[in-house]
Amino acid sequence: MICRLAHQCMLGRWMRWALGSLFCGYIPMTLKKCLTRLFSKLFLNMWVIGVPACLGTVSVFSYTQEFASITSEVRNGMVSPTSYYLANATIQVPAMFFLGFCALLPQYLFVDWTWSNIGLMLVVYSTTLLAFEAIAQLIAAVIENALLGMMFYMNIWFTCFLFAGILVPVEDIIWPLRAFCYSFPLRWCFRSMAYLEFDENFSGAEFCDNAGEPGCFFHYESSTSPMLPGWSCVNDESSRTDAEFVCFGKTGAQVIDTLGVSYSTLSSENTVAVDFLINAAIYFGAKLCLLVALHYRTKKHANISEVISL
Amino acid sequence: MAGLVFTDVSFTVSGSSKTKKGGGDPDDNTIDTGSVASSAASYVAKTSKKKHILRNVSGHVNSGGVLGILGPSGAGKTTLLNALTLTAFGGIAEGLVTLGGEPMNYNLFQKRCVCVEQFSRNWEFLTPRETVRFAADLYLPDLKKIERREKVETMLEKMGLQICADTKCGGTLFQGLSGGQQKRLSLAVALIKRPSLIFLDEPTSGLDAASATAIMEFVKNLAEVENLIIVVTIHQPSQKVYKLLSSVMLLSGGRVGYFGTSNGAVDFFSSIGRELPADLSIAEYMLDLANAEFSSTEDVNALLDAWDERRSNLTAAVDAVAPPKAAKVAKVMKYAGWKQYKTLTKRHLKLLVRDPLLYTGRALTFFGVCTFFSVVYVATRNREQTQVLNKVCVVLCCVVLCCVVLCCVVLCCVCCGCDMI
Repeated sequence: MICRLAHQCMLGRWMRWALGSLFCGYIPMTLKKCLTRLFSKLFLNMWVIGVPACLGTVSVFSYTQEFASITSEVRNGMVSPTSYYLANATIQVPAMFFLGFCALLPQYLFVDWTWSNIGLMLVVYSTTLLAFEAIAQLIAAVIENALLGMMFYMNIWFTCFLFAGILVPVEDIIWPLRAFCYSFPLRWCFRSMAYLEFDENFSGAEFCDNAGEPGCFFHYESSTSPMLPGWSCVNDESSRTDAEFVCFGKTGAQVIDTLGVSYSTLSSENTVAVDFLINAAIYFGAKLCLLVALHYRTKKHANISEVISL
Repeated sequence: MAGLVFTDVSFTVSGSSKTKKGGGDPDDNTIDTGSVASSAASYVAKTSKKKHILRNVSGHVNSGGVLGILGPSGAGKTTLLNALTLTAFGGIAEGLVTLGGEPMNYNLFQKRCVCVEQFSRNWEFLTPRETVRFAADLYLPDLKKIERREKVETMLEKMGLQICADTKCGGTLFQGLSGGQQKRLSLAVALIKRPSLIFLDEPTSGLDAASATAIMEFVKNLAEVENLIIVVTIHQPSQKVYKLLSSVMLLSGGRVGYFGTSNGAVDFFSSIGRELPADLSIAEYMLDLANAEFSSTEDVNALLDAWDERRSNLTAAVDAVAPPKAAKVAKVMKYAGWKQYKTLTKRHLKLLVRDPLLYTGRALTFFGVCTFFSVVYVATRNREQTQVLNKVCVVLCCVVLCCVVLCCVVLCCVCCGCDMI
């Protein structure tokens, strides 16, 4: 029996690992072989080892009893699923904002993030937490077996990470996989957070107006007209070679656009409102599905049918 | 009949199975429904079969009575309870179940019945007093607050829970109430609803003999005093517990081996030539007779056939009695959406404050993890060219690690069986 179980477990895991590696391996095939994709390729190696390692952890966990309690309370006529759902949501929203505050506060205290943007940052960050929380709830409601539910959630999380536009550029991902980039919250959160954080000038660079001057960098407004002023870097660290010293820009917008060359998700365009709305939509979508799932699960019953003997 | 009546309850599951060609167990509860798809080259035949988990189980219990459903493991006790509580999924349940003359359906069950499951979990971070108070607020929203509080105190006193009324229930995270106290608390929550019928799944399992007897004594008194119908499944009752049951149903292999008063069992078994040995209690003896794993299959079948024969005579007699009267319907609890919402919000706020895994623990973890990373990347305070990539990393860590923490909390919650929703 033990051998059989071990065989089943191992076989299942091998299959999952093989599928996971195949899935991850397919994406780099589309990557262009150029230096700007260097970071993406590096991160991808981490995925190939990270996903299989992670999948093993979920086999430890068992069933969540919370939902069973609520199902029992609903069946016994104590509560209605809608009341429970609303009460839960009422508590959840401020609680997640509090969690978001706890997560962001150290960044402002120790790393000196841009204080003027803390309000917007908190809104964007907490909305993302809410979206993840709602997805986790939905999975718990739909999949009664916690083991499968946990595996599903972990896979969703990894998928979010993979398609956040950092590890793999969005434009390099083929359809229909690219749909993941648009339907998960991590990408939108990361884009807004980077925008809000890279909001001030950086030292080590100076403005330059002459586009033809050697060492004067600039982005393009359109395909031909340069966006001036550009920037040039004062490399006063004599021990470093030019290859080691990367010049990103003077203003936050210049820096973020330079980063956007490697990480296409990042851009100096203000998309905070859009990103917030997308994540809010993901949250409300998941919550709506949760309401349906709650009703279905808690009110599911097997009526006994009468046999009419002739 | 002013009580619970169930007639010819059957539960069938279908599925295919592989059996040796020409073989098969003649005593299993299966019937072929499909053609045998075997080939000459194969000695294994694949058949589509229906398996009867329950077969024509009938019984009744009146108000004020306690029906005990006994039987060895796999006899069908829980399936019968599931069929009666409308939770028999994965198969086809057939038969007729009425409560006070009304056919059992989901609405009737919600209004007049309560099922206390074997592993019913009380809220870990609430005390018994709070648990029963919240139950009263939810079940009896129309009563005045002071009346509800009086009922709560009376219930705690009745259940013998006053001594631990302000102790947190506990569970997987910490030790709180004992097993017996937990079960009595579940019963208190059920009773506060003022139902007509209570189903108790294995209320004595996991308890020592004294606690089991105490619980069943309490259940019996409750049924008599409150005029309730109580149906319990019991795996292995002691003689004391057995005597507290007003009627008994013995199940084996999904069929009834005996149904009647607890005192009448000895006479029935004597009448079919199975005298009760002097050194055995009737409960033990019944379970020995019905256990196909330790008695011969022929003996068990003979017992079940004997009861079928007896039952057909009894049915004729019962049919001659006047038709069932509608039972007095217990006061139906009304939904009050807004009040429910307020009570539930209050309950979960209390849990939020007390349960560290819900939010407070996460808040501390978030703060700790993010502080750690901000210290690691403290050099990014300087807005220099060399720190640009590091700043990206901090943002990424902040987003991703909090999601990891969320993941871990979900895992821990599921592992510990605590509140995640």
